[in-house]
Amino acid sequence: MKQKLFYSILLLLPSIGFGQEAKFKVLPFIYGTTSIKDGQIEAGPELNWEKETKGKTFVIRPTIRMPLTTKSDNVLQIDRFSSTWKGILAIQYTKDNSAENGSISRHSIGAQFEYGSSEFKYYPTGVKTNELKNTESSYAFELKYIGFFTKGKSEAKQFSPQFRLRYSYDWKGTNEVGVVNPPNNNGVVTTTNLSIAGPSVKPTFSPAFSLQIYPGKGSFSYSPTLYYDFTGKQDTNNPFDNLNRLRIESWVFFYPLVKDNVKIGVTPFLNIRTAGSDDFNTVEYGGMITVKFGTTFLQFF
Amino acid sequence: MEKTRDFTLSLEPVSGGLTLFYAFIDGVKVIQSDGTKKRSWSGKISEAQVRIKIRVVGIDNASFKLGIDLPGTADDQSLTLKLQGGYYETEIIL
Repeated sequence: MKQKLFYSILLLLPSIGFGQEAKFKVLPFIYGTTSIKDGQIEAGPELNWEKETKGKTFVIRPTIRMPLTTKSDNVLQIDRFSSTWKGILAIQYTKDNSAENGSISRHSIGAQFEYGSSEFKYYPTGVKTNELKNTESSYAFELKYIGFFTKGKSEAKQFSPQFRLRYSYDWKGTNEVGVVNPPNNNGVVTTTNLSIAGPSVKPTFSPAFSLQIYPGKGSFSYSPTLYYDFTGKQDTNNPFDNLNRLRIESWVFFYPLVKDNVKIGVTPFLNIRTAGSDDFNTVEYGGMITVKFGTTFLQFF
Repeated sequence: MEKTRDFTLSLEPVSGGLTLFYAFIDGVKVIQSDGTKKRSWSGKISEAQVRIKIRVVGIDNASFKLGIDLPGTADDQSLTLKLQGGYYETEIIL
């Protein structure tokens, strides 16, 4: 039985390799993000299967995402933020309909699975010697669509509608609190910062929509974006019965005439709680700045 | 049997925001990639007249390098070209 399967695979492989007359490439993939408080890096190979004549591209990307820093507790970390290491498997299929003449259009559909396991230490009695450890598994699924449409001539408008659905089940260590130590010989009372409770998890489901717009003139593109985040109750799997937040962003990207496909983005954001309760105000607002290298107009989510 | 010649075509970002690179040889698409890095195609083309079409989409006046290598006729030739209003296309007969 095993032998049969082995021969079947051997027969199948050449028909995949030669029957399609496609190119297969393996490229390195590195994606880093950072902000003032936290950052992360994603790295791994990119396996790329291309059939240009039919306009088809298929990409598989197994990567590892590592946090660069972990001190973070803000309202914006809901998307791809990870306080622990994660293994990621991403696939993407692109159908490009552009021909020698006429309009340019393409559609990409992507899916991603993330998994990570972490050990969390905490001190329920507030004493460093009384340590407890919990090992928990975090995971996330993501589905994505990226379209691109333009007339294919000078000063033509360019549009890229993008959708994203993301479910994540991400364990987090509790914030440290100051535990009062017994007075020392001189009567001085000090505190030690410790986590006194175990890790917790709140499932989140985050649909998002963004429309990338380049008006055909100038060095700026515009990206109005909506996120609607559903956050479930602690230690459950259902994200729909607790907290809801709507986030509105309005990105303006500038593309300087320098090497490495740089884009610099700035946006105000408005984050409104529409159901449930959390530690933030009902309406939170602020701004974000991003600088991206080796990117394009199409890369947003 | 038709006589052929070796040919390499490349498109490489130089400055600004380059979104998509396309190249066609006698109407057949041979490059369709995002503009983040150098993309190239190598193969054999007919010794008879061959039509190359380049289409590049990007932002404003971003620039890219078009490379052609046709051993014996045009060895390692390159040209830096600028988009106009986020788009550029050109046709070359070899």
